[in-house]
Amino acid sequence: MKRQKEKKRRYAFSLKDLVRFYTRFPIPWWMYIVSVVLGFAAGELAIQLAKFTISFNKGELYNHVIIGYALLTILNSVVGALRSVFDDYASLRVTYRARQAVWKKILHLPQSEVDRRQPSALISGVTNDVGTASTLMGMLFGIFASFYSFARALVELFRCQATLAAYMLVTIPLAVLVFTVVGRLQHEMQRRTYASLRSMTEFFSEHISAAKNIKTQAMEDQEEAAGLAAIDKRFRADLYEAIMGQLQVSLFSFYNSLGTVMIALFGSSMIRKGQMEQTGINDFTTYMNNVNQYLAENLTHYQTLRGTQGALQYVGEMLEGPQEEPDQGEAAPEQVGDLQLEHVTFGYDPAQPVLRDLTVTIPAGKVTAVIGNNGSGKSTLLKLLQGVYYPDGGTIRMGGADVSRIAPHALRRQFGYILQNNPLFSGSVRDNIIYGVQGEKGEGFAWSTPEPPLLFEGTVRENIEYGDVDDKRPPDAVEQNMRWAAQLADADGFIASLAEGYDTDVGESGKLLSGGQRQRVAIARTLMTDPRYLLMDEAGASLDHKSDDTIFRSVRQALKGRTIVVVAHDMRSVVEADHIIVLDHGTLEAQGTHAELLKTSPTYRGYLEKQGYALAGEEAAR
Amino acid sequence: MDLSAIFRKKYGSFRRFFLMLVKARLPFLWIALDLAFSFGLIKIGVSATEYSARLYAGEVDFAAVVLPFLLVTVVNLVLSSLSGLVTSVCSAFMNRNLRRMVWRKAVRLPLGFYEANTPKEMISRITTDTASITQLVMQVFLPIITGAYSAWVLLTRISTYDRALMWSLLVVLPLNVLITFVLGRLNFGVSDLTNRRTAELTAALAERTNNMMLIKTMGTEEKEMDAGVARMEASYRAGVLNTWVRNLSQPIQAIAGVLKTIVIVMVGRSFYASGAISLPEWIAYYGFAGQLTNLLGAYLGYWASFKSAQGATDRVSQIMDAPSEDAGTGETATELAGDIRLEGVAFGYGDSLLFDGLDMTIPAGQITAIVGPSGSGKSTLLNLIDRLYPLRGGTVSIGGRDTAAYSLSSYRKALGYVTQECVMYAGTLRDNLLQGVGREVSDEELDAACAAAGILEYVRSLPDKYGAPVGEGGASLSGGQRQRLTVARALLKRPDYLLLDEATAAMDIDGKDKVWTSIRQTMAGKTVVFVAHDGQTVRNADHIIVLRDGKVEAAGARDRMLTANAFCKEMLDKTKGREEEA
Repeated sequence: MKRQKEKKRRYAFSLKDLVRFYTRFPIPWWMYIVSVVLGFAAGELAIQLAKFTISFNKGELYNHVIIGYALLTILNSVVGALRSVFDDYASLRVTYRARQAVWKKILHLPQSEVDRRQPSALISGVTNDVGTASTLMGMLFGIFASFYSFARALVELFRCQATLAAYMLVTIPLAVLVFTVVGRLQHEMQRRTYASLRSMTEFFSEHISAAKNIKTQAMEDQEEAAGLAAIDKRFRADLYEAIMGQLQVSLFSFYNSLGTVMIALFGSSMIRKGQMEQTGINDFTTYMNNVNQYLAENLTHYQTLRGTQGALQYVGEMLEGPQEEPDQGEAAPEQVGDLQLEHVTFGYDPAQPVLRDLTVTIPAGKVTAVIGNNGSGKSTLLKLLQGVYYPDGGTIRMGGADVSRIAPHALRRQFGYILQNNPLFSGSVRDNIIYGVQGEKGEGFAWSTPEPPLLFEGTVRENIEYGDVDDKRPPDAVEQNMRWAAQLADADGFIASLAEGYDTDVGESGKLLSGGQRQRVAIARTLMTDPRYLLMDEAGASLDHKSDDTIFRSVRQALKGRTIVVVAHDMRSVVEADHIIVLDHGTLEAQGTHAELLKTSPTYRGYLEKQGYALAGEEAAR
Repeated sequence: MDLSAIFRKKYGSFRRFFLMLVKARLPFLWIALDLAFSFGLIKIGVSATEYSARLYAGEVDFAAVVLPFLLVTVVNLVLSSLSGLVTSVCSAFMNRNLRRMVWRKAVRLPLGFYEANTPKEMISRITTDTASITQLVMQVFLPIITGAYSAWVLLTRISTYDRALMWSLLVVLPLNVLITFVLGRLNFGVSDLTNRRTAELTAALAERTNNMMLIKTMGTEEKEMDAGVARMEASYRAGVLNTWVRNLSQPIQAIAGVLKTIVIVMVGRSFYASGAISLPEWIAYYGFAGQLTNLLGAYLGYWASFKSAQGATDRVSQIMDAPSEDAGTGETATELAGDIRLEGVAFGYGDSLLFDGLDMTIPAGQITAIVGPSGSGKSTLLNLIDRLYPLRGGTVSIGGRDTAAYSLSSYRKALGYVTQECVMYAGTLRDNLLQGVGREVSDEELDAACAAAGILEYVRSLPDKYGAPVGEGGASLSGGQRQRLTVARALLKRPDYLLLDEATAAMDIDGKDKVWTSIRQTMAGKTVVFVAHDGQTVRNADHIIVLRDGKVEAAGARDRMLTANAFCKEMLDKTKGREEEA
C-alpha cells in the first residue's frame, strides 16, 4: 500500500453520503417514535384546550369549566415535558455517538489533511457541527407530529365555520411566502452579523495582545483611530441588523394582522347575515391561532432542515475522506539500519516542492547533523522520515525497507522527536512524561527492546533510590523509568521543587511551567519511549546555552550507539556530529564529516566563520 | 461589619455606573423617541383589546366596531414596527458609544494593566460587556418606566368598567406576583454544568487537535480516543441531567400559569355574574389582567438582570477608573545624546524586587550586548529603558538628563525598540512596515530598509510587493521573516537609540550575519542595546554587560570580556575548543 497520492483526490458529498453518515452509529429509533406518538397526543390536547379558552371568552365561568381548564393545562404540560424528555434524550445520544465517530476520524486523518482543514474547523466539527446531526433527526420526526397537529387544527377550523375557513386558506400561500422571504433575510443578516462580530473581535484580540508593541511604538493615536473604525464597522452592521430584523418582524405582524382583519371583516358580515353565531369570531379566532401555530412549526422545520446541510456537509465530507490505518502494514525491520532517501521529492503544496530529488543517507548508530538556511527543508526531512507525511516521489528506506509499507504506528515508534517548542497536554507532570508509554492497551511498549533501556550509570540509579524514601508505593517499572528519564532531561530538580512533585498540574498546554521546564518535560517524555532513532529539531534553541549543554551531553551519552539526527543553527552541536548533511533549497549541497565538509562545502565554512570559528589557514572572522 | 460602609459602597457603585453612562454619551434623543413610541403603543394596545373584545362578544356594527378595529390594527402594526426599529437603532448607538469610550481609555492604560488582565478578558470588556450594559439600559431601565406607565393605563381603564373591580384586582395581583416568584425561582443551575462540560470538552479537543503531530509521532491515537470519549460522556451526562431538570420544571410552570388564571377569573366572575360588567368588558378585563400579571412578574426579573449585568458594569468601570498613562506632559524628546545611565534602579513585577539598586552605564555610540542566564532581568532592563513600567526607585538618564522629564510619547518615539514578540497586524506589508513611523516614506527608503534586514528579495518575489497582505497576526510569514520585517521597521524610524530583544533569534546563520552587518552600518555612531543568548549574535557587540540575579556581574569591551568573564567565555570561547584540539 502506497500512501503517496492521497492528498490530491477530492471528495464530493452527496445525499447518499448523508444517509451513510447516519449508518455510522446506532440511532435510538424507539425514543423518536415515542416522541412522535406523544406529539399526536399534544395536538389533540391543544384542541380540547381551545374549547376552554372559548368558554372563558364567552363568559361561561362555571366551576367545571375552570377545573377542566386547569387539569387540561397541567396534563398538556406533562405530555409536553415527556415529549421533550424523549426528544432530548434521543438527540443527546445521537450527538454523543456522532462525536465519537468524528473524533475517531480526526485522530486518524493524515497530517496533510489536518493541515488542510485547520484545527479550529476540526474542533468545531466535533463540538458544534455534530449537534446538527441530532437536530436533523429531531426535525425529521418532529415533522410528523407537527403535520398531524396542523391537519387536526385545520379540521376543527372547518368544523367551526367552513366558509370562513375556506377564505382563510387563501392566506396560507402568503404565510409560505413570508417564511421564505424571512428565511432568506435571516440567513443574510446572520451572515453579516457574524462576519462583523468576528472582524471586530479579531481586531481587538490582535491589538490588545499587542499592547506592548503599541506602547513601544508610541502609536496610541493611530490605534485609537483604528479601533474606532472597527467599532463603527460593527455599528453599521448593527444598523443593518436593526432594519432587516425589524423588517422580518413586521412581515410576520403583517401576515397576522391580515388574518385578524379578514376574520373581522368576513366574520362580522356573516354574523350580521345570521350565517354565524354571535360569538363566532371568538371561536374562530381561537382555532385559527392553533392553525397558525402549527403552520409556523412546519415551516420552521423546513427552514432548519436547510440550515443543517452546510454543517453536515463538512463533517460528512471529512468522514468520507482519506484516513490512516495506524496498524496496517508491515512490521518495522528488526535490525537498526541506515535511513536512506532515494530521489525524494515533497511539497506541502505539490506545486511548491520543499525537497527536490534528494538522495541522502543517515548512517545507523551515529550522530548526524542537518544544516542549511531557513526553508532548505531540514524540518520537513525529519517529518518525512517518521511517516508523518509521505513523499510525492522517490522512496525512503529504513534498514532497506520502504517506509511507506511499514504500519505507521510501527514506524513512528522507532523514533523520538524533539522540537524547539514541544506541546504538553493539561494534566500532571507524570501524565506528560509517561504520555507515549501506555501505548495501545495500557501496557508499556517502551523498554521492551531486547537491549537494556537507557545506559544509566549505576550511581544514577542509586541516587534515585536513595531519594525515594518518601514514596511509599512500590516503584513499578514505569514509575522508575519515569524518574530516570526526568533525571536525564535535567527535569528532576525542578519537579522536586514543585508543590506536588510529579503530580503537579501543568495547566492547559503546559502554561503553568516556564518554557525551559516544558522543554525538559518534553525531552523526558521522548526518552520514555526508548526510541531507536532520535530526531532533534532545534531542541536546544529555547534553552539558555548552559542548560542546552547539560541536557544534550547527558542525552547523547545515554543514547550512545543509537541513531541521532540533529537539526541546529548552533555550530557547537554540529561540529561534534559524526556525519553532517548540508541542504540548500531542498537539495543536497554536501555531506560528510567535519574535515571533509571544510573542503567541500562553502555553506559549511561560511557558517563556521560567522560563528567565530578560527579556520585552519585563515583568520577568524573577528 | 459596618452597615453604613456597605451602603456607601453600594451607593458608590451605582453612582459610578451612572457617571459612566453620562461619560459614554448615551443617545438621549433616541431614548426619548423610544419611550414615546412605547407609550403610544400602550395606548393603542388598550383600544385594540377592547375592540376585539366587542367583536368576540358579537358586536358587529361596521361603523362603530369593525371599522375602528381595522384602523386600530393597522396603526398598531405601523407603530410597533417603528418602535421596534427605534429600539434596535438606539441599542446600536449605545453599543457604539460605550465601545468607543472603553477603547479610547484602553489604548492609554499602562502596560501593567494589560498584564494584570488576560487579553481575553480585555477583549470581552470591549465586545460583550458593553453589550450587556446596553441590554441593561434597554431591557431593564426603560421597561421599568414603560411598565409603570402601562400598569397605570390598564388599571385606569379597568376602573372605568367598575372601580371595585380595579381595587379587587389590585389586591390579588401581589398574590399572582408571588406565584410567579416562588415557582419561577425553581430554575436550577444545571445548564451551567452543561455549558461547563461542553467548554471542557472543547478545550481538551482543541489542545489535541492543535497538536496532532505529537499524537501521530507518539502513536497515542487509541489513548486519545478513550480520553475524548470520556469527556464526551461527561458532556452527555450533564446534558441528561439538564434535560430532566428543564422538563420537570415545565409542569411546574404550567401549574403557576393555571393558578394565576384562576385568581383572575375568580375575581372577575362575581362582577360579571352580578351584571356589574358586560360581556365585552369581561373579555377586555380578562386580557388586561393577564397583561398586568406579566408586567409585574417582569419587574421581579429586572432585579436578577441587574445583578447579572453588574459583573459587566463593574469590569467596564474598572477600566474607566484605572489611571491612564500620561503621554503628553513633559519636555519633547527631540535630541537625545549621551550614555544611558541607570542609578539605584529598583523594580519588580510583583511584591519581590527583581532589581534593587541597579547601577549600569551603557556607552553612547556603541553596540552593547546584555547577556546572562534566563530570569536575570535582561528583557526587563530594556522595558525600563523604554519606560514601559514606572520605576520603584532610582533613575534612568540619557546624557545626564533624567528620562522621566520627557513626555512619554515623544520619548518612546525617539527610541527604537524591537521586542521579542514581532507584532504584525492583519494588513499589507507596507502598513506593517510603516507602523509607528509617523512620516512620509518613499519606496526607495522602504527598499533600503528591507534590504538591510534581508527581506527585500522576499518582498520582490511577491506579486503584490509591499501591497501583499500578511494575514492575521502575520500568519502568512515565518518567524524569521517576521523578525526581519520588525528590524526593517525599527530602522525606518531612524532612532538614535535602538533596543533589540532577541530580535534575530529565529534567523538562520547567514541571515543573522547579514542583518547584523547592516545594523552595524546603519546605526554607526548611534547607540544599540541588545539582548541575545547565542554566541553568534553576541559577537557583534562592542561592549558586553553580564547581568545575573538583577545585578551587573561584569561589564567591559568585548575582547576583554571574552577573556576575563567566565559567562562570556563559556558562551563564546568554547566553540573554538574543537579547533584547538585539531
